[in-house]
Amino acid sequence: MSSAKDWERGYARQAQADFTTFQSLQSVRGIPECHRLLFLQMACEKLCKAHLIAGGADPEALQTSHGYIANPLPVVVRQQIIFLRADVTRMTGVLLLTRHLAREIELLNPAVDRAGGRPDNCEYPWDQGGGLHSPLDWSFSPSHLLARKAGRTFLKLVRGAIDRLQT
Amino acid sequence: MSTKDEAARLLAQKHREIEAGISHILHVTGRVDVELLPDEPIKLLEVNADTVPNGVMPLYFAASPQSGIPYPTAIIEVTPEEFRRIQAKELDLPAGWLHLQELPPEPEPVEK
Repeated sequence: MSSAKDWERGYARQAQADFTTFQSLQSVRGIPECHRLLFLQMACEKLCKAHLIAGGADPEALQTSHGYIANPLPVVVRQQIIFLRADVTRMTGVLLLTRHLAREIELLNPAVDRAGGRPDNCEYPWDQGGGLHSPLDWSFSPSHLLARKAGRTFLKLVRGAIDRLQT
Repeated sequence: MSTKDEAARLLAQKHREIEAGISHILHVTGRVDVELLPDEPIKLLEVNADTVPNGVMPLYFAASPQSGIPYPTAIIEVTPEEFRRIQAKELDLPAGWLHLQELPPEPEPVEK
């Protein structure tokens, strides 16, 4: 029987691999935006789940459930800022963007659609407004948010938070 | 090394500095003998109008003495509505989260 610590480490390792893949794909031409973001979404979800499991959540229940980014990820990023001993008052903009990004990244998962209001996702086509949309043709808001200076800082903080779980 | 209470206040202060949406931070303690264990985390319940409802789920962070946080930390972030339900006993806190003490904002230093 695996312990909670085993599960936490397992999720952390997968998060690291997902994030490394996301970063590697940034420099590969021809990779669709949806596929790049899919790995970021998976990395963020596993990072959050590792912290939830360490906090006592049932690993088996978390394995088949989604929607664990919008609430936990800003708290994880905020702790990473504090761990870095940064001047936290100068990071309010980063955290504001993180809250926005966390909601949008969570929506990239097809299982999360805000009661049908946001069917756009990274994996499957969806029918909306009388037409079929493909992730391959869609422009996802996280890509625009990540291009900002605070977005790039967000990515560094996520990477740091994942690395911290390995130590 | 700071006491667990001092570390909790420091964390709460930093969280307030970085997030305007936080209305309450409560330091939660358990049984006295459990709180004396070095691995028992600082437990914070934070009410944030900018978060999304997700139920009562603690996030655990390991200690980081080099960052001035010598104790592990567990944080539950809830919306004001979820906090109302916790107060009304409609939502339960995790086992061992027994006593709630509000950590008010630190007073602004008076300039001379």
